Amino acid sequence: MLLVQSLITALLAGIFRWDSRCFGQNLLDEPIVVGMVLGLVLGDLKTGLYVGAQIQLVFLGIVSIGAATPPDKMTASVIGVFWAITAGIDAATVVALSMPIGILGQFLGILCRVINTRFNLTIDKCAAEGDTKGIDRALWTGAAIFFVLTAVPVFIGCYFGADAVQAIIDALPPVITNGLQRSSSILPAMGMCILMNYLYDSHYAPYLFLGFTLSAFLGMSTLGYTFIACVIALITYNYARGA
Amino acid sequence: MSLSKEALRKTFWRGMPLQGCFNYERQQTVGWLYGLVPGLKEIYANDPEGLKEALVRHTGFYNTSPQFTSVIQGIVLAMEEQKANGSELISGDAIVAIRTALIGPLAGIGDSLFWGTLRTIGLGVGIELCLVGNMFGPILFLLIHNVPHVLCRYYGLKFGYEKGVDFFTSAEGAAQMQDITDATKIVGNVVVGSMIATMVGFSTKIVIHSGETAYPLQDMFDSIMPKLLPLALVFFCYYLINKKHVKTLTLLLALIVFSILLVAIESIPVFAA
Repeated sequence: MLLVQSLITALLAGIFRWDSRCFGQNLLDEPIVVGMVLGLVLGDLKTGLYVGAQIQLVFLGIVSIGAATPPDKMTASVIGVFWAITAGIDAATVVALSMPIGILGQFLGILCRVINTRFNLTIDKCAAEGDTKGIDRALWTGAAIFFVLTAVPVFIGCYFGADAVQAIIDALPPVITNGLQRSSSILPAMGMCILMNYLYDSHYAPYLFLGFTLSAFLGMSTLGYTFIACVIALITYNYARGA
Repeated sequence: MSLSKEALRKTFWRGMPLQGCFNYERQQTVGWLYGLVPGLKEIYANDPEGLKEALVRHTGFYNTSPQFTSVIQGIVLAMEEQKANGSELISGDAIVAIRTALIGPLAGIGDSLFWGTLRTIGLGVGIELCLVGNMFGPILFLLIHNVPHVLCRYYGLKFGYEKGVDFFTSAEGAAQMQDITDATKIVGNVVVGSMIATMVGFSTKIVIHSGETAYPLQDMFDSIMPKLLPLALVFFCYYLINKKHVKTLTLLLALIVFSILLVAIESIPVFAA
């Protein structure tokens, strides 16, 4: 049973990897989507959604801009959700482990990109000879490398990983496990500040505090403050265009 | 403007695997060249040497927002077509120069719009729903990001092919893009601000005993303002990451250790309820 689940999950991981490689980057590899899909496939949607969301908060600020290869939110959530659903490892522990898993995934991603450098030589040759089929082949071989170097490690992590992790957790004293529990609500702060690092500067500070105020003091719902944000953005845009 | 519908259709779909062979040296180049193949084959159908020249022209470095690559595909194909038809104004170097000039600004606006704004809004809405077990969370998230995504790709190709060069090389175009980027950052920041209030669960159960009375520390914070602790924590972490250049993994470990210490302190009888 675990074998079949691990195989299916590994294949799904390869498909999620291909979201940003071959399907045009639709963010299917974000933890909440991964959580939903794995939850449906493994038969526990609620846990999938919940754990996916918690891991998402840790990786909130992880965006793949330019050549940056950040810690890999996809393998972190695939393996995390898998462990939570199949081995019953609790959400807080999985969340605390998600970044280290993501860093392992990051390393694999870097490896893929380094390997794919050899295809630059291939396309140089094919372009000079007018060999368009060679160019097509180069692209898809590179994509295949991404797939394999994602699916195989994920399979290993799913099939062999949960037991090892559970054994370690069982050996830990309560203050540590309770501390890990608590960290799952504190760790989103890290996700927030990394996202802020990308979006925030003193010019946009008023808008950040506006959002904070609307939520903290008025308890406004997500769509509520999103609408207000769009309204303000449009007013600013019209003003800038009109001036 | 004589590229067949079929060639344009293939160009659109071949814009999807832009990052299929991503590497650090030339980044999206293999995917970029892959995306140009149908268009170039048609343009240079009777000119095999011209085709080779064009292909070689596009083996240079390429990196931009995947959602906007179709704009550049359109512009480049329009220019290649004009060159192939004998226009003397358009040299191979000019095409490469335009391509190189466009990848930066389009990356800037695309990253800001998609990574910065749409993803952030989508996650703000989606995470909230997921935490209560609602499957619409991820679905709404995907719609919020991808409806504009597909529209940008489709109309981007059309716009790039039919009008592109003139717009993007004008001062008007540059100013427009700056204003759009500005607007997207506004929305992104509002959403992050509210997520600080709703998604960071930092509070404490520590109680300070003074004589007969017990003062829960959290009440003290709440009376100043709600969500004071999450706000302070996030800004402190931001300060660490931005000004002190603390690494992500270090911050993660520090926060976990902090959580453990918090639990430990709260369970010391002197500080308990």
